[in-house]
Amino acid sequence: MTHRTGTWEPTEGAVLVGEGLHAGYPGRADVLDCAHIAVSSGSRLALLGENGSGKTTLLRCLSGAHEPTAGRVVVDGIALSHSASGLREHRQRVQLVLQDPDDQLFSADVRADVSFGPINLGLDDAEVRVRVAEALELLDVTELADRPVHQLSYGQRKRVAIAGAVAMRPQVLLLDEPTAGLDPRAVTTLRAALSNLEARGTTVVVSTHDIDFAWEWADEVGVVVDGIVHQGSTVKIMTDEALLGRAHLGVPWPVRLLRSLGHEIDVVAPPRTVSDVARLLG
Amino acid sequence: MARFALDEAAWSGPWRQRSTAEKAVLSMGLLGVAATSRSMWASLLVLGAAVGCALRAARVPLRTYAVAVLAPASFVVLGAIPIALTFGGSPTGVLAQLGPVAVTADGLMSAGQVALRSTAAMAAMTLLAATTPMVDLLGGLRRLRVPEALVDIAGLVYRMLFTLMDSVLAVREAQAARLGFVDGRTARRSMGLMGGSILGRAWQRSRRLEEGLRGRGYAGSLRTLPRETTVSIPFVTASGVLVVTLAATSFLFTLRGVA
Repeated sequence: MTHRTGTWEPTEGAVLVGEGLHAGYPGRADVLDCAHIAVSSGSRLALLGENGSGKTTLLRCLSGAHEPTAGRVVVDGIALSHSASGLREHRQRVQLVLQDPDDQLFSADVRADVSFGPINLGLDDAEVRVRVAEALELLDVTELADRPVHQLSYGQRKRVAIAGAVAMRPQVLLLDEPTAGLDPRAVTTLRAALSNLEARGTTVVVSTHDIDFAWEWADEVGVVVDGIVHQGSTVKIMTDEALLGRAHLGVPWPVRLLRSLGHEIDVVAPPRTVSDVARLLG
Repeated sequence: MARFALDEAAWSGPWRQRSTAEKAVLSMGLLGVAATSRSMWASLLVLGAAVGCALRAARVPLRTYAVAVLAPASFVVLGAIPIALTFGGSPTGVLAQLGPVAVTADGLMSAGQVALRSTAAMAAMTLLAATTPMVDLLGGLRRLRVPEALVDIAGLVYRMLFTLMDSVLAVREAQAARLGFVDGRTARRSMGLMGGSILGRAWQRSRRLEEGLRGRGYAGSLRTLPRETTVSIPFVTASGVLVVTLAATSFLFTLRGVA
């Protein structure tokens, strides 16, 4: 758990850390009020919270898009500086993909849009082509490369937007509401793409309202409530009904079902999928 | 999702994979012949060549191509009407007269020449527009060293046009569902509200887009990887032969005084 008071130490092996972050917007109380978060290398972290809780602001702070009024962001032991060179350095390690892909896709040509980041890294054309091809393949959008962005579906545009960030080969990829507005099939495709990224060693952080997705996908969960982050293992946080209630979130369906049938949740190997639950009840 | 027929034809046609340069040779060549011809027959030949290339070779849908050419052609026809008219004096070869305004054979011929020449030129330009997506045209402009800022702005306008159109369609549909276009007064009010709403959305989107671009290292330039295409020598040769033949024919018609 993360508390507003007392000392806080990031978990060992954390690649990205937000420490004592205070952040907000003019004319409003701080959305983040001494929030701590640690992203372990190779872990799957899901950020949960109700609308306006500060999930997006937290991701923006971690990516360098929003400068916190207090606190610091550390990546690989190096504190983020909001100077031009500091941000340039940071963005090669941490990439944020915005919720709405149309906020990110500026070119009507898929391949051209994905090439934008690598070109800004100063890479030569041959290397840029390699990265673009790799990113398109990882996100399973290679066949869309020659189609105009405005003819793609929302889910396809989301994957292309993620490919644009992936082409920069970041250590940590922050995805703001990647499943929002997607149909179940598009969510499945997106999850497969996330698995590809993880297999390549990219650490993925996802903010979401989808508690069932978080339960099934994440190793760790951070619940943003009252300006701070309550972080812990998925099973620990997502079985804490009091905490989820304070955040106006529900309980994942396997937890709800098993508890209603009088079962205890196995904290070592929690049932995450329908087949897990079926086996348990079986 | 907003769609424009000409844009779709350009993205999906068989000439999509051809290099912009080779299509520009054909289109600009035809345009040049159309603009310099002094003969209606030569203009007709250019028009026929452009239409043939578009409909047969590039498989642009007839309706799409016709609308793209005829819509501006209607302005050309309107513009040609004053050329056909003679005011005052004592004109010769009068075909019709109303008070001081007369229609003469020479005037009518001049108006026809202008209208036909303009239509042929538009058909040639539309051939390029209907077979080359805007991103490729902008890539071509970038290679021609057109200032980067202009190309970047044009590219952004093109991309944002579709998201803006989606917003407009969505807002309009929502307003129509709540009887926002039930009469003229309500429609005007709805349009005004929609304009304000879209303006606000466009502003917010531009701010978020800038943030998204900065996240990927934007520092003032929107340079991206150019599309890799090879110029087809047979295509360029065939285009050259067609253009030179039309130009020679046009010159011959002019020499022999063919109308």
